[in-house]
Amino acid sequence: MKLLYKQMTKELSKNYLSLVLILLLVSFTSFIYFFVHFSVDGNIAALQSLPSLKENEHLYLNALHSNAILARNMLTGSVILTSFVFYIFYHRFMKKNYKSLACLKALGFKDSVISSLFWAFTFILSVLGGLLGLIAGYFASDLLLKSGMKSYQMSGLVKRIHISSFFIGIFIPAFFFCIISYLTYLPVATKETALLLSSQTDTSTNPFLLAAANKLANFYPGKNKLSVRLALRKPLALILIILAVTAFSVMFLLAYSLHLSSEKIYQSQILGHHYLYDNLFDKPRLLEKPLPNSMPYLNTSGNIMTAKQAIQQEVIAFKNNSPLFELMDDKGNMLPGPTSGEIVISPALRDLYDIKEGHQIELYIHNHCKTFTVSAIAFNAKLNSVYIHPSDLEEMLSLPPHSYTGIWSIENISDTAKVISRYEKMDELEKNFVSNRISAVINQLVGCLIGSILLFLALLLNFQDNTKDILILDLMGYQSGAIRKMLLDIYKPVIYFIFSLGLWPSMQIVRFILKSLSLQIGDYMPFQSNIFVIGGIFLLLNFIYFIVQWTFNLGINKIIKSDALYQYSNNE
Amino acid sequence: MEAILKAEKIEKIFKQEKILKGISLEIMPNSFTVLLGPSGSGKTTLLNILSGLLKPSSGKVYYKDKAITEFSKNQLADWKRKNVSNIFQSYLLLNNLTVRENIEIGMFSPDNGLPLDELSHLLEIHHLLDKFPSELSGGQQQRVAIARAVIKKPDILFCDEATGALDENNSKKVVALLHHLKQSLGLTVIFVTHNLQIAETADRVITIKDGLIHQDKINQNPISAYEMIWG
Repeated sequence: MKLLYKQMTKELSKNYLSLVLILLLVSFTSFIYFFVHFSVDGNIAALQSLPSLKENEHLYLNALHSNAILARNMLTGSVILTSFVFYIFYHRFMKKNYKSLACLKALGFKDSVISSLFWAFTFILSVLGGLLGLIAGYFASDLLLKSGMKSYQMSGLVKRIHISSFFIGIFIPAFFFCIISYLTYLPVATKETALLLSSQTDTSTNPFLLAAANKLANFYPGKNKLSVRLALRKPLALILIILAVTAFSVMFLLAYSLHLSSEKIYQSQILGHHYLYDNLFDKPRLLEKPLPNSMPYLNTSGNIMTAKQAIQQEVIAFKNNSPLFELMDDKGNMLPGPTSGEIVISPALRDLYDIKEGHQIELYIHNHCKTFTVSAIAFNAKLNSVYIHPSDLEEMLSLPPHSYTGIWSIENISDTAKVISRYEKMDELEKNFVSNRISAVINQLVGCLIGSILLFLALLLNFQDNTKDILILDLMGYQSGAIRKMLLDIYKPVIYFIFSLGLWPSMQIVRFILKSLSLQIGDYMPFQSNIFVIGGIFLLLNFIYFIVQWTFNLGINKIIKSDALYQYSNNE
Repeated sequence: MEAILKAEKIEKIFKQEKILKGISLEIMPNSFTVLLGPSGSGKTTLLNILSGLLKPSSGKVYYKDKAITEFSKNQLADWKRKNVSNIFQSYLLLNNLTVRENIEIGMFSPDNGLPLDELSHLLEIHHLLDKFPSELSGGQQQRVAIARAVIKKPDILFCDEATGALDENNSKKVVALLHHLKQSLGLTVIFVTHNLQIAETADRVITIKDGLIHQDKINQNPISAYEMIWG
């Protein structure tokens, strides 16, 4: 048993570059989780044990919960991606080692004994990676704690993790990875030993797929049909590239969107909001004469009913746009105020609940229901607010004309109102976003790293599959440049093709993730993208490709120069 | 004397093609049997079925009085571990283990095997024990494979073209060794080959053709391995 473990562990260790990358993937996976949970667990427990919470504590508790949700989602996504990488790694490993495995079976080793080696190896790798992520997460969580203290004026925050979080972050991923390693051994366990002995040890695919690859390659114009054919013959590796490029694009777009979402929201609350004070009254008042440098409005709380749920919104009504506040669209053009029967909504309602211009929606206010037509979507609408004509709101609230509950003004005009200055409003907005933004951005940066590693691995595995062909072509006298052109350079257009084809689906995935996160967390996070981001992704993909190619060329040159072709081919 | 291995109406179908068409045979203990035949005749398939590496489509294989074709996977693994060994044409040594370790991995229990030092001297590989397979010649690798196969004193040794990748000298040496081990350890050897000269050294030659036993002949005057004339 010791010798069996020695043989297979050494064989696995030969793939050290892939293993290091997998270890990094596992580490980042757990890092994402622990980095958040070290700052969340202890503080949630502490806040929940308090008999009552102050406003800042309540806000902080919400932020902690939203961060925990984000971390859980990221952990789930990363575990799925890493599981696939484990699958590809072991699938290739098993195929390449069919003969050794068959030899061990012929020697009388049971499948349970041989497979135990793989899941034990996976378990150790996963736990090791998990612990590395835990240590890194412990130190990185200082960032979140500090931002929490600053943004929410919290003191006495603790860095602690609950035992269940420890198990979830370390052992749940390890459990899934072990299952994957066991599943990849199943073909070895179910195939008869003699058939394993006579199996091809390369990673070539079945004849049906080969024929399909050949047919597809025939559509490729030009003289590089052979390269295309060779690339298409490895569907699993191709799937990994598709997954890696898509994951990379998704992570990058998501990171960008999350990073800029708070800024966009912040901007939306400045644009067109020219008043310096918001004066709020307890009860509705009646406007007797126009007030200078001010804009009265009527507001209340209401619910918009959709087929699935009621969405709580602040309903605001004012007569006309004024220099103090004007509704604007996302291009900065002024929008006309709603007329009777019309409603102006925020982009959040459009993006999260799919309510569009021209839609009819039902608005409930104090048991009164009225149907409105969406007339416009105001980019600078106050968060969680909709706008209707004053006559509609007055009617629904049974108030006389010219009623108001608040005044936007340039000066602090009333000592009987609750007054929120522009500075206080912006400060409040910042508080709501800073913590989420930091955790989101760090998580997404790690996500980008995970995407990069995935892509690196995908290319590396493809290149490794071609090692034997490269060596044979070298023996046949091909120049290394020609070999590279024939076998490796094909992956560049493949990546470009997948990138351009996958860009739109990636954007839809990001939109979906942002929508889900916004609904779970309660903070609207709009999708953001521009030509520079797409260009950045493209450049980064090229850079990763270049690094992999350079690394791989080094390895190939080493094999060619060491004259180890015979040995390599035999070991294959 | 009772047969150590018995096959009853063995059939094997691969991709709708009948490779073996109902072979029955008995192998006596401490015999050297050659399964002879041209490429594609089904001799390796038969050997794989006899050694438990392949399941027959129909028919049964008995080891002593136990039907190994009825064994569970774990029972079969135990049987392979304790009672039989295989030698392959491509040696199949484990490249990350030293020669010593490659031999030791063949033992199912440290108390039951042959002394490694004695065996390595007999096979003339004692000076190679700390080397890795990649540092050995083909003949040396095959002798290590033989050591790995016999160290546990198996009852039956299955050899699939065990000299197929070797030159004349090494082939003769390997065949001679197998005969010697058969004598000294009381092994039963079943040797698949298409080499008529190796067949001349055997006690019994079973010729397989088109999935059937074409000829089953007791060799009255086997030659020694060193008398073989390599064509």
